[in-house]
Amino acid sequence: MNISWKVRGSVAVLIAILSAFVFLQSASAEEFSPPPFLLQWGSQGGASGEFMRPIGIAVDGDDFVYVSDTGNQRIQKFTAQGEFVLSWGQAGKEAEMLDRPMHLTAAPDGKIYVAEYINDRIQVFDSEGNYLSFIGSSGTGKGEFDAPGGVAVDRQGRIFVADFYNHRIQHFSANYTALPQIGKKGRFFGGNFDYPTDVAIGPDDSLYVADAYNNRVQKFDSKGVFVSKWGGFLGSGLKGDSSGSFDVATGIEVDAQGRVYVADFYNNRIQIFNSDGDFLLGFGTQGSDPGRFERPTDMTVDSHGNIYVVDFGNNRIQKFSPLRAQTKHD
Amino acid sequence: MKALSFKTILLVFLLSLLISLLLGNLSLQATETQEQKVVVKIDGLSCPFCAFGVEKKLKTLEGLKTIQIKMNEGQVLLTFEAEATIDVEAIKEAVIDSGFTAREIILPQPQS
Repeated sequence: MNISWKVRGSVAVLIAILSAFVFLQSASAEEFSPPPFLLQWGSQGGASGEFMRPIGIAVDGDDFVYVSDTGNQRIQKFTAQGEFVLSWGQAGKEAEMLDRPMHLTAAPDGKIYVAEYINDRIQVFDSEGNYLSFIGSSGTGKGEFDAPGGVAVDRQGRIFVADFYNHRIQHFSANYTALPQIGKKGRFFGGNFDYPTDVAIGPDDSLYVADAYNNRVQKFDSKGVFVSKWGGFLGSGLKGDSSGSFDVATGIEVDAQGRVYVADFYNNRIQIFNSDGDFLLGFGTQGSDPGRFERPTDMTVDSHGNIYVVDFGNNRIQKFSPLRAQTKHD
Repeated sequence: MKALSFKTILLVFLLSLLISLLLGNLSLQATETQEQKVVVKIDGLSCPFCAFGVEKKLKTLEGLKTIQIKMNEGQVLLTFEAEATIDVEAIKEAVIDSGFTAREIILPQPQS
């Protein structure tokens, strides 16, 4: 009888601790409301301004928007209002050609870096789509890739790449010298990856990784040392649809304030966290109406804080107003 | 009459031979342009990183001409050269290498 009460007491204490943990995980000093929908562009097709399975998106310092139109094997460039500017790329292995361009980034110096999934390289272009150079080759060694999914460039010019099938992050110096890899294949523990798809750099040069099939985000400092992880219970990788959980995190971005945006693919939403991983907001539900998503793959934030989301299944880009903190009334 | 009949028979024979040779050649050409189509059924292809990963691994198959990923249907359509030997084990291995298992592989029906 006494043991039974002890067991019950222990269970009650455990539940209380877990509840407090969950509350603290979801609680935040700031509260945000879903950003209002502004505009959308694109539909399925191969003409200018149309998309066939778009995946990645980036915005440059002048707020031009670049979209990797993966099914059409090209990059399209738009104004912030969604007006088509130009496009480049065609299927192939040669320089300037593309084979499944995935995530892309506009570096601080204005260059556009494109992760090419099948050609196992990062191609570098100027903002007009002129080919400049490439990084990497096929393989499992240092500086080699097996399906690079995402790329980011920090303020020192270092290049970080989510090396999908090698389950690691590769990084390079500004002159493209391969540096030691970050992480390895695995689950649960920090620094272990299961099919990472994208990377992003914070204002303090912290590295954030969309650890897609571990259903979590991992954060590293500017030296590549593991800092924290979140997503599911204790960042364990358990998928879910509650706030702060993911069902395949396909894309990641950090805004000027250090807030972390994550494309929560199968939950058809975007989730936003502060730089410590505290949940701030989730928006979007499944559908094709404005403000709804069909499996979003990526998002980016322009200099005004406007949010652009790649609505993969609807073959369109949606633009939302900047995040606004609500005044809290007790 | 008999001589004429023999000439007619010879003419018919030669014409038949010519026609059969022509048809044979055409048939050979048709065989050369034929392709072998294979359908690979895979569950869970709705994520583009998975679907294009499958595409990447299958692209290395010997004799492959084209590959088409049908994400929503969970199918991959492979087109091989007519003379290519289709290696089912290699297909299975490539799918496993991409992180999946082929639920079913439908091979081309043998020509009768």
